[in-house]
Amino acid sequence: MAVYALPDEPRPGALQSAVTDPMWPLLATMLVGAWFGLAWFAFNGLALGSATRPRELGLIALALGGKALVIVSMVAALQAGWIDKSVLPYLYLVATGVLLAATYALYLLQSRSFELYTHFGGEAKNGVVIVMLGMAVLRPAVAPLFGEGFLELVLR
Amino acid sequence: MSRISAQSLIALARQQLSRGNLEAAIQSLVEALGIDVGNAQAHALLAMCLIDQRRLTAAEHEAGIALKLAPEDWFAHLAMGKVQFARRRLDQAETHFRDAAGLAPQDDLPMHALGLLYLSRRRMAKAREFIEAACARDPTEPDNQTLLARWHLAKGDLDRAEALVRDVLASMPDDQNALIVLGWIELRRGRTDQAYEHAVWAVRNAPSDAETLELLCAVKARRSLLLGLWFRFNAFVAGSSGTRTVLLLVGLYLGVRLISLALGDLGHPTAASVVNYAWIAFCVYTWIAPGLFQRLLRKELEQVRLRPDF
Repeated sequence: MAVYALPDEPRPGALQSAVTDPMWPLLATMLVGAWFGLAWFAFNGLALGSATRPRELGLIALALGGKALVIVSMVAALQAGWIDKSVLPYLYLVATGVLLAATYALYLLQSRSFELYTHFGGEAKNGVVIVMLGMAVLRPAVAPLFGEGFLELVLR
Repeated sequence: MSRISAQSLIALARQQLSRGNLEAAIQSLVEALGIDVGNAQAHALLAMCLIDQRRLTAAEHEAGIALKLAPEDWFAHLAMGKVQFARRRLDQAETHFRDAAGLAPQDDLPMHALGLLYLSRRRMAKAREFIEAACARDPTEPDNQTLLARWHLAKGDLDRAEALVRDVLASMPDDQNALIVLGWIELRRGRTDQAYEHAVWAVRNAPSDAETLELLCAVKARRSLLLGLWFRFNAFVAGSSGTRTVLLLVGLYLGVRLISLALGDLGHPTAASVVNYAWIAFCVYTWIAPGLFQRLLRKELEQVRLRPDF
């Protein structure tokens, strides 16, 4: 019999065993870094077979692109002499706000797929170990590779 | 052959729905659509089921397919209207409900939907017109009686509202809508204990129903202002949409960071640290609050005992 697929139901594939609650990538974005958390979101969406994956990838692009745009604008305004250097930490809050808002929206979007996945009996891995390892090992090892410039500001 | 099978599955889904088995109904409809993907009736009914599961994107998709397949089907218009109503797009909902009513003037469901829509818009005269029309078309339907009770409650006629709703509960003691309406009536009369019993009974039937939680919060608020505020905040944090919570948290985070930076710049590093620690405590609380709230709710449910005369 042909199977009718509901448009919002996830279709997990071979990576199903690696699915985690999107809460963990969200925490990883805050505690390990945007580079790690957002990459985890993208991987989790793939593992879930999330029906909203294109929108999730769009939000990842928005999170990084939006933050980068705010930082570029800050640097340009500083170089043009429109703002003082002491204002930069305050303006950086705007960049953080853009990243956070897009990441929360991503979390909510992926949560819907995750809830349906668990509703239909899908199992999820606990992501706490990965977050801990990310904080203790990955962050100190990877973050210096970004240097202390633009890349570090966007990806941290 | 296949069409007959699809139709029998749709009939089965209707039976399952009438018994309150939403998931089984969805499964039957998915199977029906596996046999006959062009069945507008199945798409529309599936949309209705998905609304009840709060899967509004999928519901809108299904109602859209139903309308595309059968633009003159009143039930497809009703389904799309209910999706739009759930999304609070009231103008679009009204258009679809009116189309449904025009296509099926003898059916009570479009009238009921229009009555509910006008009641939520506080257009009382119009609401009454359609609610009475729904009652006239099917006087035995408890949902119509309960909606009429809601109308009387909104107008402040508690006696009439209570008589209607007790009539419904006499034949269907578990009716969720009737329990909630009776809870509000008791609360308006100042009988918080009775209101609490009805609220908890309704929560037991539908623990995540927003309207039920609203009633429970109102009862708590009446008993104790502080506890009421706590419940209201938790209902907000544990609320279904999440969007408001995200906006609140991101806004609060930015506000806290701004204050902390300013305090540091103004030479108050200790105060800046206090603000930061308070924020971390709040974050931890918001992570665990929904779980705590649900646990407290379960505890409330275990404690409640209905009066023997209920």
